[in-house]
Amino acid sequence: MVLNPDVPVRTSPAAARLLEELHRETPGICALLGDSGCCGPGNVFLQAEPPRPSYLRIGSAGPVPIYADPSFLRTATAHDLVLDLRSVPVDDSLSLETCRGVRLTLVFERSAVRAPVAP
Amino acid sequence: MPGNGESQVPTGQLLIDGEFRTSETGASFDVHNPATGAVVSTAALGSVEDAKAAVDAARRAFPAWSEVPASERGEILQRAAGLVLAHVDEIARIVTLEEGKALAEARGEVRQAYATIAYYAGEGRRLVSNVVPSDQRDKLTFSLRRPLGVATVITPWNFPSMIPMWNICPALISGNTVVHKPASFTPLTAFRIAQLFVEAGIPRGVLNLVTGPGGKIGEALAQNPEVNVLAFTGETMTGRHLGEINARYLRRQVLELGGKNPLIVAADAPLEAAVPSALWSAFSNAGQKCTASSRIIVERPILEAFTRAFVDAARKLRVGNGLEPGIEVGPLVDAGGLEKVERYVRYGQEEGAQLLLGGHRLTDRGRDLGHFHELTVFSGTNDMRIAQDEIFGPVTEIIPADTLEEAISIANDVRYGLASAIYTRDLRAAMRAVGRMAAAVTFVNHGPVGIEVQAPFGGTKESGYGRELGEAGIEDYTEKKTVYLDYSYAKQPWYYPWS
Repeated sequence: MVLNPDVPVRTSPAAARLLEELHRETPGICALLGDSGCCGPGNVFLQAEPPRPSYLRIGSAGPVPIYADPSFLRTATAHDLVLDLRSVPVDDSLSLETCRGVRLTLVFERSAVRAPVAP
Repeated sequence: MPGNGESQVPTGQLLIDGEFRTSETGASFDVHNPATGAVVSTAALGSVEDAKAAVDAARRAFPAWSEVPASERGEILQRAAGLVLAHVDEIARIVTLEEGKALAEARGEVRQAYATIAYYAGEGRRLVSNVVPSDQRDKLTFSLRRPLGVATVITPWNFPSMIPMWNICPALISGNTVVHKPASFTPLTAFRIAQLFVEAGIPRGVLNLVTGPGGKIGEALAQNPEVNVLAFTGETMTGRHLGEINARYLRRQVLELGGKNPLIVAADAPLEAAVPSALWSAFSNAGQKCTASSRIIVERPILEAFTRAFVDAARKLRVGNGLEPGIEVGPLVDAGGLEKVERYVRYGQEEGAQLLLGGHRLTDRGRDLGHFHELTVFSGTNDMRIAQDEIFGPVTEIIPADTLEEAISIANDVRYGLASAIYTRDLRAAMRAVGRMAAAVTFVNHGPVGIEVQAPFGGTKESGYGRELGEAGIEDYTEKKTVYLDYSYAKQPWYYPWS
């Protein structure tokens, strides 16, 4: 099992625009990556408060820092993380962006340049 | 009953202070059938003001409700239970229409909702507390159960009739008042059951219902200082966020947040029982259960036989519109859930898992209109993302283990700890697994699905906080007040004056 804190994070243009807008409204926001658990598709949670200390900062999307739950970074393969956006007419997550009818979604994309990490 | 679209499907309204009504803005949102994409009906789009009005109503109703004798509260719940039982077929149809599960499964769920209401109705004649010996003569020391106040109950869409009852009923029978915020995919089931509670005689303001988006309604309810206890079942990160808010208010909470549940199939397991049980626990409700057996850990001597029998049996299950006769597995609840399943199937393949069955969206025979996915079985290892994350769909992974010890180690090697299970004929092995599996629930010779209302349920590790059901449910919604009753009327030696 490999803990990989150097996972590249990218943001789709739509997600980047949204994060810029939300950051202007609430300068302290941060994006947390973790398992969605029961009933949710997102893997991303946007909040105004800082994360709990055990989260690892793994990058940023413009001015918005991105943190990840260490257990979520357990992986035996090489993937890039891509923050994307999709429309959700009514959503029950308390992630900040959902009030705008959208949901940040995390997509793992196979890296074209990095070799798989050996387990 | 106000209706819209499908016959016998209500238009969802709010219930605030005993009145069914639209939101204060008059806005509503569509409720879709995940099997067809059709709009089933609409529900009131509650606002932050509606959420506050609901909490205010619950606060006003609390003093009187908390003084109603518990047995009398139980009688109201008993009437509600009877009404739910009398309307099982109608409610089950609403569940299938807005959530998607097969109708027979929906009927079973609604019967469990009934059982929960009936169980807690009975608690009205128990609410057991305790008496302890006093250090002094002629003195009685005992505790009383006191309700907490206003309970906010935020519930998910996957069991829209049953899970709300797990929290609403212990809260009510203990003398609390309730604000229920159901999932936005399934507001109609909650509305219909609220109607039946009102018909049963629940006093105004004691049970309130607010529908609408979690980011507004859920957040407003959580940030309301008048809420004394908050129960939430749903996304892990939303639950953690709510937990942080609850800590700021020093508020009681119950959080149930997910699972990645292992089913161990030991080398001596009876396949004729283990295979159908594994099928049911992996694929019922299209795998959209926090207790789904999404990891099946099989000892190598039985691996080939189990895998062949499991895949063959899974291939025969019928996936389709849950209202159609013969359908055993319904759709995912929405496009987001379907997309997530597709992403994880891709991750599994990219990580080297062997796809044994399924792996694709279903689009034939009209299923392109809904959110259908093939039942999907992987063979792989526990360090793959498909083994670590909760996919919440019809996907399971078979993981080989050389020994029972290794199987238990694999079972525990995940962030969650909700349900677990083992199939074996060896009771010593079973009890070793019971003792060592880091989960709040362990089934022996049964898949990790099939919670009974009279026993506690909840999670360890990142699966949550607190316990629901059974007596534990009452603990969540009461605090104990200790009474020291001195009937000696005597001056004790340590009282002043000492001479």
